[in-house]
Amino acid sequence: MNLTHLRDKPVEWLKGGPEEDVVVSSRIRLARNVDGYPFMTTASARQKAELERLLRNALTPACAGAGLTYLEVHELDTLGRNLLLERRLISRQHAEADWVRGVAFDAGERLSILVNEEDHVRIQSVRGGLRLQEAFERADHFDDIMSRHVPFAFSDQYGYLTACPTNVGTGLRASVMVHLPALSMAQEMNQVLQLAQRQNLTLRGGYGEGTYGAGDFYQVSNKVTLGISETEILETAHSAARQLILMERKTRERLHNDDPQRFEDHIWRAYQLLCSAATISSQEALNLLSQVRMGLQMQVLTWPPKETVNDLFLLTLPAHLQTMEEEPLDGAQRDQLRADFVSQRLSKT
Amino acid sequence: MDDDENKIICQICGKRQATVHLTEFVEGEPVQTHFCEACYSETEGLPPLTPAAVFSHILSAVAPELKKLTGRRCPHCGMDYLTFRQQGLLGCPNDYELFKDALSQLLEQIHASTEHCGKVPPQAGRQAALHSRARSLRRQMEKAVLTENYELAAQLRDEIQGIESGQDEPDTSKR
Repeated sequence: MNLTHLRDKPVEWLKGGPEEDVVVSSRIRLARNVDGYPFMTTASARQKAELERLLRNALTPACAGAGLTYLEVHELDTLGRNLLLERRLISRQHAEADWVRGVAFDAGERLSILVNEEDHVRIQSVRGGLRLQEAFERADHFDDIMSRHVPFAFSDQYGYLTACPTNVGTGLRASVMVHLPALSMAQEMNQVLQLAQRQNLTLRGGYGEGTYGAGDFYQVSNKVTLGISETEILETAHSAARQLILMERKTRERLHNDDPQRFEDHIWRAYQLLCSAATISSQEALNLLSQVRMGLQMQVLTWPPKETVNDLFLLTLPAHLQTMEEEPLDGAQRDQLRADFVSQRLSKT
Repeated sequence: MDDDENKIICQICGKRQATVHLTEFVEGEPVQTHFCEACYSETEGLPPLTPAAVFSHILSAVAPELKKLTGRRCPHCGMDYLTFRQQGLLGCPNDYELFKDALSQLLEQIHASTEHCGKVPPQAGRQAALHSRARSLRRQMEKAVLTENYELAAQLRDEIQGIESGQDEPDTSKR
């Protein structure tokens, strides 16, 4: 199945939302397993196929009602799987697994339900900006719908049972993706780490495989899922995000006020490099777009439109670039194509 | 402002970019050290890097329990405790009961709790919903006491007592 049409579809959560100057998106993940079946770790091929069929059937009414598309991920080629991965509809683990599995997602790509991931079901809901509660309510709603058709593994003591004990209990991971270029520029990321630790939250890189803090994007999420209610998890993550917003905004203003010329020069250089580079790596594009994003938010730049920059974060990723060419691209060709594509998109004519 | 200025440099070699950021608590205060991957792997006595290895590291803290559990194998999924220890993933829901003793310590370390207090699915029944609700209220009550909000704490105590004496119906299966 060819998924290249996805490339031209805007992703709703990249369009922004409340506190978008600092918060890119709010993401919820619920982990569930079907009662009476082993976890994926020990399930046989037959059981995995049974689970996929069972869950696909349970999803059918939800798919019809909410306009979800269901894809058999194991039937997709590598490019298709990587496209879904870059759009965050599936996880890397799900993209790389070697068993029968699927994903259902809505037209705006704000909801995706992964079948046969590390757990049998992962319900993911995402919103642009700081909207954890809203994202949670949608995931919770689909959890309710699925619960009517499939009994989920649950224990009175431990709550929802998951393959990894780090997810047991609520099975809820609430994460907020924040953009912290000023705190990073001012070398104050230690404060962010300390804040996360004080509130029992995890701080991870928001973009880039294994690259901590690439483009100054970070994800703040709850560590604890057991012995704490969903409401409390959401409140803690929300309140940490609010503190980070204030810290980042204050630092942006301080840096700008202290040395406006230096600050603006930094942003303008990033913009000009994006406009005129002949070759540009994924990592470099991310770092430069990050500066341009801040420049737009602080009105240092009035061009390009915010939407263009948001789209570029996605369209400059390797699988998305590959969809623009028939022949497979090597790294160097991709870097050239990326540079051409970015400068075209940033051009005013 | 060159891009390189944003990079944190490894505190060991002072040359390469630091990609591992280790925070340790020294006398209750967090102290951070920045390493490049090469220096990190050459330094002895540091925790492992990959999530699976980190998990395995935590598990080894409960080593004394291991001996007791080594011979135990789940009749449903075939999982034994050592395999779980190596891969960090359980084999089936039954393993939570089978490895309960060692898991309790582990869950306490990860979550500082061994009891669920959140959403309950419909099939779990009224009792499970009541238990979860009471635990959640108890947690709220403890917080209220800590912040010296005694009026709220008293209200929550009454609500818990109501649930425990069977007077109150849970308002919902959630939270």
